[in-house]
Amino acid sequence: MTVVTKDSAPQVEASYVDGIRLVLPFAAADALDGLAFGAIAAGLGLGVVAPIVLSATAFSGSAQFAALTVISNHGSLLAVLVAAAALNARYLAFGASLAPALSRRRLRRALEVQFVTDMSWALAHRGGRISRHVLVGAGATSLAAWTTGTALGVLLGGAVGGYRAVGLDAALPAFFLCLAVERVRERGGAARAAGGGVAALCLAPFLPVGLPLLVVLAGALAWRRS
Amino acid sequence: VTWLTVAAVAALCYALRAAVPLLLAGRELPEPVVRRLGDAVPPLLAALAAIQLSGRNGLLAVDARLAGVAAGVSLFAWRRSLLLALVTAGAVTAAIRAF
Repeated sequence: MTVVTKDSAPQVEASYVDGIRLVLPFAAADALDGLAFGAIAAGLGLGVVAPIVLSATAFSGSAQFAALTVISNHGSLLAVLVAAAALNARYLAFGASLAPALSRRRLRRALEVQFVTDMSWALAHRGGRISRHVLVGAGATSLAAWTTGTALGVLLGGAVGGYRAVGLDAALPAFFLCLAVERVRERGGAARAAGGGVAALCLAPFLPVGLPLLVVLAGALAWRRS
Repeated sequence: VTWLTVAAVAALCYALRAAVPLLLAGRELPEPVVRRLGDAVPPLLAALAAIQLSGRNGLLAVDARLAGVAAGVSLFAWRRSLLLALVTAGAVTAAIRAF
């Protein structure tokens, strides 16, 4: 697959606009996911501004939903950070593959990395040569969609009132399980995933919220591939 | 507490994005480290779901929500639409509660 700027000139480097165009079909999904995040966060009593600021700065669905899980169960900040770090550790790998393609100027580079998402990273790799323009164009579009969606979700969620009435409290566990299913389909590890879930279920009655997550993370990191 | 959490999560997410390009200046992480971190994601996601599904006492809550989540995730395994799965999970939960 080649990233083409003008239809006739594949050798021209891809532009920001290419990134925007490539990501548009997915940006709609980002906005809807943001909507769900905003509605749930508002339902949990995080207020109006905090969820929007979090979406605009952290810009990470899995980390933000994990933060909600821990907050809603009165877990510690440390537990929030451990969960978020583990879920986003993939950014380290993304950074490693993108680093050679980013701007040479340090400040610009520091700005460009904020637009790394699963999707913008994948799109930037299309066409063989990594394009930082596609990365930034796609990432910025997703960020705008995600943050706007969150703002709408916060407002609508507040309007709907009791989020239990519309079953929103089921969306969070379903979200995590769906992501797990997706990862297992792509890369295997069904037994590991099931083990993590069962271990957390067994530990939850005895330990405060963050600790089962830590135990599962430690166990998963120690697990040797057969 | 909310704002401290917001700031900490935002800082952490930025740090993870920036760490390799800014500090390692393009040197690669060791392959086994990358692979292990990747392998830890599904168990962690399952654990997060499990904690969500536990009630106040920490035991798995067998209720409308569990049925809704099961319906949503089953649908996702079949259709792979995240939005459809989440809406189904919510709708099934709400419907069971209403009856």
